[in-house]
Amino acid sequence: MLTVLALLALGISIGYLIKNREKICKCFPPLVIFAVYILLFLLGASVGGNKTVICNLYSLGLKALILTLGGISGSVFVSMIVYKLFFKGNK
Amino acid sequence: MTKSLVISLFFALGILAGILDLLPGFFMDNDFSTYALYFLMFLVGVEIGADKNALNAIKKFNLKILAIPLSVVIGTLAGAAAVSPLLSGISLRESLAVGAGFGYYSLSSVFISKISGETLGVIALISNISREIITLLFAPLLVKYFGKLAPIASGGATAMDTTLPVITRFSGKDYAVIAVFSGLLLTLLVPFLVTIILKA
Repeated sequence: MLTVLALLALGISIGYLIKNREKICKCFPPLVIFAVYILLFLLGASVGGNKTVICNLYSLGLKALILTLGGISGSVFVSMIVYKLFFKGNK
Repeated sequence: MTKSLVISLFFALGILAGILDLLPGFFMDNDFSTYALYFLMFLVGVEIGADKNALNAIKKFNLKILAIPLSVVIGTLAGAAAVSPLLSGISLRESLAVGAGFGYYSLSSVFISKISGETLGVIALISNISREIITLLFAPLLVKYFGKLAPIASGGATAMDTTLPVITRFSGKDYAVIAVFSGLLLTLLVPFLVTIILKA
C-alpha cells in the first residue's frame, strides 16, 4: 500500500514537471492503456484457471449488476439532494 | 466505450488462456502482476500530474465542489450496503469494497482480487465496468430526472475521463470542471478506500 502511494505521488510530481512538454506527455496515455491490458489479461488468466469462478460466472455477473445499481442509485440520490441544496439556481 | 470493450476483450482472452492453461508459470507468478500494478499506478500519477484540466479544476476549488465527490462516496457506499443482504455469499465489507471502485474497474478489480481473491475481483470488474456503461447510456435520462449532478455521481471516478464527454454534453460545460474534480478525487480515493474497507 505504501509503495503504491509513493509511486502515485512520484508519478504526479513527474507529470507536473513535464506537463508543458507535449511530446513526452503524449507517450503516457498509450502506456497506461497497455498496462491496463496486461493487468486485465493476467486477471482473466487467473480467473480462467479458477474453476469455482468459471462455473459461477452468471451468478457473479448478476451480483455485480445488483451492486452497481445499488451504488448508482445511492450516489444519484445523494447528488440530487446536493444539487437542489447548493447548485440549482446558482448557475 | 470502445476502450472498455477492448479491455473486456483482453480480459476474455485472459480467461481463455487460463482455462486452456496456455501461460507459462512466469506470467502467472504473483510478483509479475504486482509489478504491473505498480507500473500502472505510476503512470496514472503521471497522467493526473500532467492533466491541465485537473489542475484548473483544483484551482477553481471551493468548498461547495467538495460536496459532490463526498456525496458520491456516501451514496455509493450506502447503496452498496442496502443491496448487500440480497447477495448470498458476499459480506457487507465485500459489497462496500466493490462499491468503492467507483467505476474505476481496472484498478479496483486488481486490488480486490489481490486482497480477497478472484471471485470478488471478477464481481468488482463486472460491477465497475457496468457503472461506466450505464452512465454512458443513461446520462440524458439521469440529467432529466435527477438533476445535472446525477451523471457525475453515477460516473464516479470515470467522470474525469471516459464519461466526461457525455456529462459535458448533457449537464453543460459549466459542469465539466466539477466532473473532472470529482472524478479525480474519487480516482485517488479508490486504492485507499478499497484497502481500508477490506483490511481494517
